[in-house]
Amino acid sequence: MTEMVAPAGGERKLYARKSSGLIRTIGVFGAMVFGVHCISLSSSGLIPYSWIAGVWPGSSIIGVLTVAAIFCLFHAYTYATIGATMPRSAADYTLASRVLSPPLAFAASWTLVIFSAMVAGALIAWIPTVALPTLTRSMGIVFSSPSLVSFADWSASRTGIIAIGTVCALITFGTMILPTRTIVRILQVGFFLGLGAWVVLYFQLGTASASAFPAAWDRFMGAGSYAGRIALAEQYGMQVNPNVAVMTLAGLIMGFWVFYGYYIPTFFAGEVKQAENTLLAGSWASLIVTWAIFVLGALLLQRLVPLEWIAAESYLSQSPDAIGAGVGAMPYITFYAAVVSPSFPLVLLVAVAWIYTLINLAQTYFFYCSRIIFAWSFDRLIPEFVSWVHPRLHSPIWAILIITAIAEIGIIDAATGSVMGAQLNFVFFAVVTMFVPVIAMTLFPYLKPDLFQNASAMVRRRLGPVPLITVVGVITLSYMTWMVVASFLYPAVGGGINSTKLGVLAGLVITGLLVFYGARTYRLRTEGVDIAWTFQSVPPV
Amino acid sequence: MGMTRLLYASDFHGSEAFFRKFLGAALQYQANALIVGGDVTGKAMIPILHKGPDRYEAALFNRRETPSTPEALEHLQQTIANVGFYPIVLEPDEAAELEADPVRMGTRFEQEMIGRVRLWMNLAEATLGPRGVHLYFMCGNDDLASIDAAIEGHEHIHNPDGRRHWIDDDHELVGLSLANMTPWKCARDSEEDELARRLDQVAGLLEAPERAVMVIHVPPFDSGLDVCPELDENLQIVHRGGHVLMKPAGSPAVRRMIERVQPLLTLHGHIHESPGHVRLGRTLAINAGSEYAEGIMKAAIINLERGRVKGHILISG
Repeated sequence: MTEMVAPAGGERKLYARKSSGLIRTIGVFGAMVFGVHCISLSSSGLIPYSWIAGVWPGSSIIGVLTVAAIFCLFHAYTYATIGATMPRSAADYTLASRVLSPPLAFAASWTLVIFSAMVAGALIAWIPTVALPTLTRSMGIVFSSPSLVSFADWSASRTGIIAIGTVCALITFGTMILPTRTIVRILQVGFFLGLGAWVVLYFQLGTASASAFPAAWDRFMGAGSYAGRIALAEQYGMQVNPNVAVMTLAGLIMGFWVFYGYYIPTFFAGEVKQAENTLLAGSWASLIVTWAIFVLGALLLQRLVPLEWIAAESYLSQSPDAIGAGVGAMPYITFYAAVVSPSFPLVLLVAVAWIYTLINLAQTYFFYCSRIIFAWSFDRLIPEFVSWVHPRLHSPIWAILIITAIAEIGIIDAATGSVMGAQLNFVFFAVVTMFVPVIAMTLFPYLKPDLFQNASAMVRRRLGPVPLITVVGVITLSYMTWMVVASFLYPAVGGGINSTKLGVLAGLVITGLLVFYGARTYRLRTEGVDIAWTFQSVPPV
Repeated sequence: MGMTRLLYASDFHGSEAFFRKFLGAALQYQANALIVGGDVTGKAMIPILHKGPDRYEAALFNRRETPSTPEALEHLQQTIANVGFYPIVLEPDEAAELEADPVRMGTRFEQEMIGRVRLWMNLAEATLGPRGVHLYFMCGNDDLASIDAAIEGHEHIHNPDGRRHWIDDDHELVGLSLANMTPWKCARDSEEDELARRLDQVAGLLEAPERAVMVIHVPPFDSGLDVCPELDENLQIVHRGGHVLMKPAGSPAVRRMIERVQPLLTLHGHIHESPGHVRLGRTLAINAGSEYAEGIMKAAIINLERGRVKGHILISG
């Protein structure tokens, strides 16, 4: 006889029998934690103060963060809906390939993965460029050790970035081939370390006296350095413009740079139960939490130094003329905190947390890239060996090795160009590739009405006669179009998109198309199966 | 003998859309034989309360549905069936009586499950029979024993559970619906030693294992086809640092048997989250996965040719 599950008291909604699979959902907290991890409390935690402030001098950092977060909420909604529509690995690729065009979806996914791996390398390069020099320079000055200062200089040099970056990439590879359970523990430790580092920063910035900052700064950066900073930046061309319109413009451009990562759980949608609720709540919560963390940092920092001064330091670190003239700039919130509270244990803790979480960040990129590669493998688009899982480690070693090799290119790119180069370009590349799944999601109700009707209630929401996802999708597409246009209009934040980089983008897309059609031809001839079948709709009888 | 194209899927869990698409895929991809790997029945009934003349009320996925025309009622019933549930229209007092009597509720549920499987079998026979295509339809650990009887009685439909059938001149098929013990203690869950014994029995039916297909509901342990979220004692997903902890939940007995017997092909289901294919020695093992609740069909197309797997691909639609 069928054994029933007792219905909830007073509810007459569902008569469930005792059967497998009736499990609870992963909590929103869990999804939020992962989203925060992907945004990164370390790399993204530096951007508002070290970069945004100098690109738009005078704009409110808090205002920029707020505008950026608001626009990201729309994008997050679209990607959460993609995950809810196709709750499986690489949901974006899966949706676009089923709804729009398989070769185009694969080419976009291919480009995204290759550039994501490169960005992982660029993020790893932050360790020798920012985290290590901040630690060793602070220690060298505090403890009067010229060798530590020299190490800081070497660490940020081309050779140092490549050498230390390569070691960190190998560490990342080494940790990523460990069993998943171990990787998860490593990431969990990193999450709490990252939070701990911010608590330390809050403590350092919050307990320092504003009047003590100039002397503390000068002690590290040279006598008179603090007082002359704004004038020096103006000498190199900084123009302070505290205009709300400029601030809004900056927020419109900076969303992905600061908060990129909140939507990455969509790539793991297959592992999230009740994805329709969890993905949206998790990604929005991660956006709001990181916004709050960075805003609190800005408030505490502005307690010590005026906005214009932060802008000047940031500007000097980016001005080619200032850099060429040998002006040293350290516009990092970690450095500001170390200056006002030069406690070796605290500086060490923050530096270790920063290095650890930067590797964590690279790990999350490795993680989602390998998930997407698996999705390609299911569709028989790549050779089976790429997704081969080691029987004891349970890790896709070849896939991770390929990602590591591409990450190494990212490290070299960062060492030979700017440490933000690949990441800057990445936003442009990522946005371009996002057009394919976002257009697919926007048109999903019209192109696949049968699947739309069977989709979860969250996907089927309507705004009057129009599906809500179509409305939000159009807003998201408008935002993304603006991001692309802004990459050309504002080379300082667009990474200087030129014909070479456009050529690279075209090259990646074309190689993706070649892989798709090559794999299709091979499977058809040798196995008698057409890869296109996996993307086709099947009408019910 | 030329190439034989198999179409395989499992874990329909009552989804009408999934099964109808499965049959549609057989026509679209010109399959020569269809195999179903178990867990064909749904998990819940949805009561649609008759509140008055042309007034009905139900809740689907926490959304209140109030059809007010016969067409709207039919559409709601179809939507419920498509996601694998069983719509039952009840007067409020009927619902109260049913809820107060677990035995009656269980009997009604069993009738609904058997009824839908019978409908499916009739549809399959009508669709496949004229084309000479055979369907090998097996239950899984979630399916009551009484479902087996609903499969019988059709010329082109066979239940391979514990039996041997020839798919074509070269390839034989055996099946086993049992699974290792799950946290839910389902109808056909069994201990590993009992599973091993039954596996030996079905493997012993094979004439030429190197050319045989085995449809075994539960996948082999630690094969990558059996990865699912880890659950705690309250059946809640365990997660750390924002990640769901996954673990293998397949059967060691199934793995040992595959490694020992080395059939040509094994087909599995059970773990919806873990579609894929893997080689265990010379055996190709496939789990097609399942997304029945979304009305999505997930299946595998496998081309067999003279005792070898010529090619295979996972599809969804």
